[in-house]
Amino acid sequence: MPKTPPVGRFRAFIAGYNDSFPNPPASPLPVLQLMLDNIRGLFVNDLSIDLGTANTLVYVRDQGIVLNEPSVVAIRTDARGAKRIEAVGIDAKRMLGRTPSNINTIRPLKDGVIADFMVTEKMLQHFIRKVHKRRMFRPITRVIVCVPYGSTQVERRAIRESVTNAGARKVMLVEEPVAAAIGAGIPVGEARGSMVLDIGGGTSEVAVISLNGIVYAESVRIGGDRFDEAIVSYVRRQYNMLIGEATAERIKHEIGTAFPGHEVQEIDVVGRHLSAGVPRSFTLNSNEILDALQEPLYGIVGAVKTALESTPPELGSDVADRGIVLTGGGALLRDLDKLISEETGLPVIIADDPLTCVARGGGMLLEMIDRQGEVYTLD
Amino acid sequence: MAEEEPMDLPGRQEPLQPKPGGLLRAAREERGLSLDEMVVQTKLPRSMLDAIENDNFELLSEPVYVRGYYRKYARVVGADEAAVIAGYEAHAGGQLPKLEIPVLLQDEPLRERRRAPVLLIFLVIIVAAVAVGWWLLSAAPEPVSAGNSSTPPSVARQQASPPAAQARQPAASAPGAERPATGNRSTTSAGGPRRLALETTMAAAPETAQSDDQPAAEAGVTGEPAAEPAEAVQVPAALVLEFNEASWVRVEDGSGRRVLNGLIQGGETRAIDETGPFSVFLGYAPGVDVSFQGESVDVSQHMRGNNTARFTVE
Repeated sequence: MPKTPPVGRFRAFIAGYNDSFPNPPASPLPVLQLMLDNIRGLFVNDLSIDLGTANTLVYVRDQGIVLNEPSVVAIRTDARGAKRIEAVGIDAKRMLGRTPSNINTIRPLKDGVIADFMVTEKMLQHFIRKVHKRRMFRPITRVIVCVPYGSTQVERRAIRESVTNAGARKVMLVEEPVAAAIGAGIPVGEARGSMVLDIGGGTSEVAVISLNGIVYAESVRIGGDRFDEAIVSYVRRQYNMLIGEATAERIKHEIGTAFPGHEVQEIDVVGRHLSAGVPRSFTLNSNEILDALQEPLYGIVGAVKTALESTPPELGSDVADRGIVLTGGGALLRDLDKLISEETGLPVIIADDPLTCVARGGGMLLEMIDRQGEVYTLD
Repeated sequence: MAEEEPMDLPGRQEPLQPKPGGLLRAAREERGLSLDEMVVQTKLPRSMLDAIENDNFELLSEPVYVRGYYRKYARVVGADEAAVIAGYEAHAGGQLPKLEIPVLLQDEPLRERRRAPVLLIFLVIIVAAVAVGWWLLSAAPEPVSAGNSSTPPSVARQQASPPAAQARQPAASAPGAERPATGNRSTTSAGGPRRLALETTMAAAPETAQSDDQPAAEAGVTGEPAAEPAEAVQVPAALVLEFNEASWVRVEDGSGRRVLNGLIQGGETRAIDETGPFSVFLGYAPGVDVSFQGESVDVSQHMRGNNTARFTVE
């Protein structure tokens, strides 16, 4: 077998890099740039974290979304009162509502912001370590974290410090509607108005964006969690039965709908009868869930209408031409787009893979930051 | 199939992927819906619906919106959403920026991809470190006195004293004195000739006239004691460092060549009889007496807070 001479091997190596380009570059500079980027990637690691009330997603630059886990932490308290983390993420969510007295499952975020600082920090630490697992040495970590539009300075600072303590060298904050719009693929830099509605676990945010900036935005503390609570209280009111949050979430995923018209679906649920005190099985249908969700749904529709009223007329006409883009997990509720479309009279479309829009948008911002500077980040 | 030739003209791919507009129109007509009814149901402007049905991709908006329009239209008329979207991407996809961010939830392949360059970089760093180390070691001048402990301290002190040093020049040229040609680089590395020099000095007083050496002969003519002519022609060792206490020292000559470098114990003396200027760096200046060409150098004025001193003598 003929042996490749070293110089030939080097040329082949360079050619390999050249193949990465659609058109081979005339100068070696792009090749060097790519090699430098690879070397830089060893020491610097950029993450985008969608620190959501329901789920936390981590996007790693040049890799994509590598982690999508529920924002739940299970804490065990031992006999001496010392606390330690029992489980984080999916494992902890399985424990939700099924724990003995010495284990406590905590959702450290509420309404899109930190409710329990220490537990959030531990959770982030766990997720960042999981992402860095098996790397030879810990890289310098730059993190973009998405925060709700309406968050206060105190809430932002809590998030920043929590992420810093979890191991990030530099923390940049970006508003969720901007990240969602970028992640959905909306051209936010154009002089045209685009409206995005991001329905998360704790908050729903509606924003009109033009020329890389938010023209108008509003954040309402209504999201997937409120839908679950509404289902729990509806079942208690109508059936005198008590169901857990996890069951309510399952009901929402399986038969939840926001607009009448589809065929009626049913689900069998087991809950505890409040007066008898024993578990009983009963059946719920999608129309009942529609009824249960009316209040939170109209809270969101109200926010969209307010945003349309407050949008300058030129941008309003752009929004009317192109429509409203739905992102976030809430966009997966059946016929929610139809409800908003009927209520506003505008076309409403659901972004591709709406659950990951915010994290992907943060990831795209990471790429932009190196080229354009920190255009979108907050102080 | 369509992805393999994304840059091809839409017309060439027609047999592979039906155009989305035709699919949607057929589904709409099958349901007996008019375009006006579609406007009411989808809330899309009529012009947009026309563009969708006629596959007029240029009139349509950004892909994120257009995919949504196609999905909405397909849902209303009961067409296959996936087929419509695939048709749109096949025919217009080549000209559109694709939203491709992989969603990878398995960690393993990612880590493997990263591992190879890490090893490569480590290898490069190690090779570079070895190369630099080798270069530094090979390029550094031989430390002259630091490790040379063969000279007894007493001899060093004797040879470093000015009369002894002055006597060395004639002694070196005296018959039988086997002074090496390069021995004058430093006094410490030439123990043999130095001892000889000392003996010569001591013997010089009574036997000056017998010496064949030129200066000694002159001394004999004038009848003066031997020490005087010796002083006239001999220059003192350029730099003498007397160490009262242990100190680190580095001396470089005018060309930057290192002539003395290392830790010297207290009680030792080092003399350098080359021409100046010398750049001197003392690790513990209070413990060292420095004299240059026979004159004492005041080290204290160069001394810094940490007892080090750096100065140049010329």
